[in-house]
Amino acid sequence: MTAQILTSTQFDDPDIALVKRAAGGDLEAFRDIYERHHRHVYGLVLRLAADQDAAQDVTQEVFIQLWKNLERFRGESKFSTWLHTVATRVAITELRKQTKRLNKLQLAGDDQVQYEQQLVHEDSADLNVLDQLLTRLPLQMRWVFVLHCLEGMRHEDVADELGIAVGTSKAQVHRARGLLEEWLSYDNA
Amino acid sequence: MTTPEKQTPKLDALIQHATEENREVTPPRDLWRGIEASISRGQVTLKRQSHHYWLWFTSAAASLFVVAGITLSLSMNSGSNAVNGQQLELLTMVNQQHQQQRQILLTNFEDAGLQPSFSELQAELDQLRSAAVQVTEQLRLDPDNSELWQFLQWLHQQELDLLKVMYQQPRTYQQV
Repeated sequence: MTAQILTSTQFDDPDIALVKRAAGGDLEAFRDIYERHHRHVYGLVLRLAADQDAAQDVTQEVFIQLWKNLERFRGESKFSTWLHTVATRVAITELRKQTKRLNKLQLAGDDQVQYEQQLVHEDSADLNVLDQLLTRLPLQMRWVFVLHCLEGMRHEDVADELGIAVGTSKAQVHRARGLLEEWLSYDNA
Repeated sequence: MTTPEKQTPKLDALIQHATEENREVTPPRDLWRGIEASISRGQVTLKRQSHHYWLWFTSAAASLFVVAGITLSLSMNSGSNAVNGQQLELLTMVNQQHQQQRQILLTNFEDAGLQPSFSELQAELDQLRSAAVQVTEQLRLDPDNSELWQFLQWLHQQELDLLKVMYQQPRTYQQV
């Protein structure tokens, strides 16, 4: 399982040894990986989900999927970079599933946004100003803004990850900035 | 960032701060237990799949041993059916020892408040026990058969391992 992994020596990656062991089935090593990275993953997922409970569940799913797919890590980038990609992908997939379930519960459209805002409002004491404002953004717009503006992904990659057009990604960022600026000006008034 | 839109100092400052900070947030609850439970459950699932293979093998092997043993016994002189008393006594002891081990294991699980999780594994457990009974009967006819002795011990160990799987199956974690 580990034979194909981590042949690159171009990165001074502190996770390499742990990943090798975990890929070989060492659960203790995987726990060490979790301890090293789960706060960062949770931080990313919390921004995308804008809901503590959902973020916790999705973070669990990220690490479960990571355990199943460790052998796919080839060492072509730092492990933390690869994990970020995995976390983003799993988070979007899982949050989409949750959104569909919410839609089935007929919490569609404005009701859903209000529902999300209501959920987030309870947690907002732990969030900074920007994160609090992000929770007001519609779901996909928030994802695009977080991935492009905060996580530094190119529009092409965001579009690919979310299954939308590049133009849509750009437009969503533009619209998100407009809304955020508007809300900031309200707060300043 | 690469946004070509109109720049707003305050928003840009917030974005810059957000991108520069090492954003690490500690989840309110311990997430590892659920992750570990799910991983273990996945491994149990794999074990369960493998159980089907070795149980099939067990049943087939037990049947072969019994058929071969009966055939061999019938072909032998009836005078040779005189059994070795010491070996029969040993057979009884082995089975009793296994029953004691099983009872201790079950008592420990019950004391720990554990309940068997896979009711569907009960059928496989019954198959194992049935195979052990068959092999025991065959050993009464052929007590010098060392392979049968080894096979009986193997069946006993598999039963204990299966009981551990049934009782130590982790609890479910909060699903997404």
